[in-house]
Amino acid sequence: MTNATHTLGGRSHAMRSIRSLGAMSSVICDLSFSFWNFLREVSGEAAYERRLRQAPGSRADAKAIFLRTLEEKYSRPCRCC
Amino acid sequence: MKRLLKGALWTAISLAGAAALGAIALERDESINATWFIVAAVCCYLVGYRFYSAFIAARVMALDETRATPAERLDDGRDFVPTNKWVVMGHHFAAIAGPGPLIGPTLAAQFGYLPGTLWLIVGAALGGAVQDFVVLFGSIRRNGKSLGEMAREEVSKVSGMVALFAVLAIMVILLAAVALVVTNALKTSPWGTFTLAMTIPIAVLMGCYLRYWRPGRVLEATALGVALVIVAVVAGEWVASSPSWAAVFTLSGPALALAIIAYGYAASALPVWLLLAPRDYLSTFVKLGATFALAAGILWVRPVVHMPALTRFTDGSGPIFAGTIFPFCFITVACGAVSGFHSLISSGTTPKMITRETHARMIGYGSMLLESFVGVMAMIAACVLQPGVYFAINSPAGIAGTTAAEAAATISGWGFPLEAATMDKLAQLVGEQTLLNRTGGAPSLAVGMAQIFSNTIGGDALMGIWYHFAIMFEALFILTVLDAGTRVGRFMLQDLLGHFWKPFGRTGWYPSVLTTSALIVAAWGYFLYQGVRDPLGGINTLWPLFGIANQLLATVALAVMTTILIKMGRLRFVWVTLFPTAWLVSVTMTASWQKIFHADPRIGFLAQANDLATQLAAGQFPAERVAEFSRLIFNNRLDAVVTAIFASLVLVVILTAAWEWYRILTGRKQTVLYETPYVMTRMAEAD
Repeated sequence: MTNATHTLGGRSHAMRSIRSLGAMSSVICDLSFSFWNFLREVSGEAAYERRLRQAPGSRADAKAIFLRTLEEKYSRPCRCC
Repeated sequence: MKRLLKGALWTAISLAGAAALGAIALERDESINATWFIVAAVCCYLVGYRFYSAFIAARVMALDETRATPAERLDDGRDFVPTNKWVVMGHHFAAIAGPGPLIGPTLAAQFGYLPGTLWLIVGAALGGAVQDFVVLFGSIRRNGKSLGEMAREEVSKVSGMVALFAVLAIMVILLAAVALVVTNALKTSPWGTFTLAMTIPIAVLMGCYLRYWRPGRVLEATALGVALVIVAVVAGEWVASSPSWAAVFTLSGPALALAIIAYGYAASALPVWLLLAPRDYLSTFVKLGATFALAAGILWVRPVVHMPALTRFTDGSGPIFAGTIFPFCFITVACGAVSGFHSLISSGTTPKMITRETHARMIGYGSMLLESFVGVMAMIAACVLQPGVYFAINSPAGIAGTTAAEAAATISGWGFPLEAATMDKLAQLVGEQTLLNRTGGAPSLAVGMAQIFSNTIGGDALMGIWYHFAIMFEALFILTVLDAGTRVGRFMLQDLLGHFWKPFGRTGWYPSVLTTSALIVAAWGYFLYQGVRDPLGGINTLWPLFGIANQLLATVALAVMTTILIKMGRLRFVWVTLFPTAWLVSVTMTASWQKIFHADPRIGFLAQANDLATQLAAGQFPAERVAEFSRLIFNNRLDAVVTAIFASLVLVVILTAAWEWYRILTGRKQTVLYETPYVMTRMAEAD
């Protein structure tokens, strides 16, 4: 009885450890994904994709939109001292 | 209970901050740990953000979270785009974070760590962060209008013109000053020059990748670029040790200056996707990564600060730049404390992206506090050096001497013990021919950063790699400021000249592009070249000019916002902007006066010009150097005129603004506030 209980208790402890490891991995994944999205936003990559979705077209259109985005950004003060 | 706990927490933070400030202010005999600086800065920023910015948001400006911002009302998916506040903060911080908070504190460390550190913390919390915040608010309420437009509408046409001229002037001086910093960092350094030269083809490769193969895949291209830059940093050691390749990449100051001028012209005139944009991606991510790494390194290593709180150079006899703490410490540390240039960013793209007015507090005020924190870390990195080493690196040849023995004797005579062998060993450790007379702040900052990084990973074996990584990081984003600034300056000049001849205003017309680019590059290139040839070290001249110009623009911004506050009926809170305005006016006017008229030739431009003219008339210069010294005399007089123009502009702004305040307060002028009408927001608060 004692052995069974011990085994059962040990198994449930292992399950808890696996679950908490899984939960922690999930948190790390979420954080990494959020950070990656943040970098995509700050770099302008996400904004470019949104503009593409609003005006779908050919590959040439995509390149034109990308160039236009850059021209607009760098025609204003955007980098400080 | 919750309120009690909050009160206890904020009391504890305030007491910790006060204790840390007390420790760094009062400690004299023993070296102090850098952790005190971090605690003092972080606690003061937290208190400033929690209480002062909240007061400004609620009582002074009365931010309204139910009011639709221009991003919502004018949403066009291009310029006006409602954006998550964290993303806006990322954009805003990336835009305002430049080389200024790294260079200024490093130079100001000549007074000791205390004056610069106090100004960074207090100046940012009460001046710079307030400026960024209120200008952002003003622009949000005016459909994202620029500072110049707000000045013209709310104050007078004259203020608008002054703002425009101030922007152009600060652009030229800023670009010359940062270009000089890079030139001094890379001269006679084949490793550094090679690494930075390689960033050009790397950026072109990234540009082609984005243009032809994977449009819009910025992070992929940046990852490629960062990897290649790291390879370039490591490969630089091989280049430096190869006699033939080292000779190719060992350039004198004037040669490097000409190369940087040519680069600036090319980057401004070439298509933006080819060089400028990829460099910008590269530098933004390297900058953010290196700043984070420096913060982590300082917290891990907890280095001891060897610079004293106050040095003998508070008497104004400093070798790096002449002048007393007031006004020169406040001019030198501009960007990390109060920077007028930030008002261009706060009235540029950022107000067009904000979803809620209440986000302006975190974005405007909070970003500036972060920038100030970068300045504090730079101060730490400079002050962990032995003072003798710091002065040997930053003092010009004309003051400290050209050899290690001369420098050791001179600097030891100042009270900072230094042995010649120390400088030789340090140069060898970081893979440089010499670290003497490397003025401008960048090399000494790089040595400090390398010491912190190498104490974290690698030890002395990696000092060379860490040093050149730090040099690369500084030079990379200085050059990005250079090419982005030249391009924007070109646009402004085209806009201005377009009023006189329409074709010049066409930004795509190549004759106009080439001509205006040449004009802007010629303007900053002239000041850069004169700085490189200056025997007293061009930083002594250029950096104070830059500081005066930058704070001139801050004066314009704060004067405009004071006018707006008066028109809003917030007279009893107008001290929030008026006190920093008054402070900046006193600093810039005093600095201008001293730079023009001071009797000490190391401070006053006219005194130096007259001193040189007397020596020239007495035939004290060899015949082959007469032309050079005649040019120096001319340059000093030109700098005096430029300073006088800046000072006059400050006066014009203050007088026109004060006249408007008088007319409004006495009822002689009808109060017209050019805010957009209230429209209720339809966007749910998602964050």
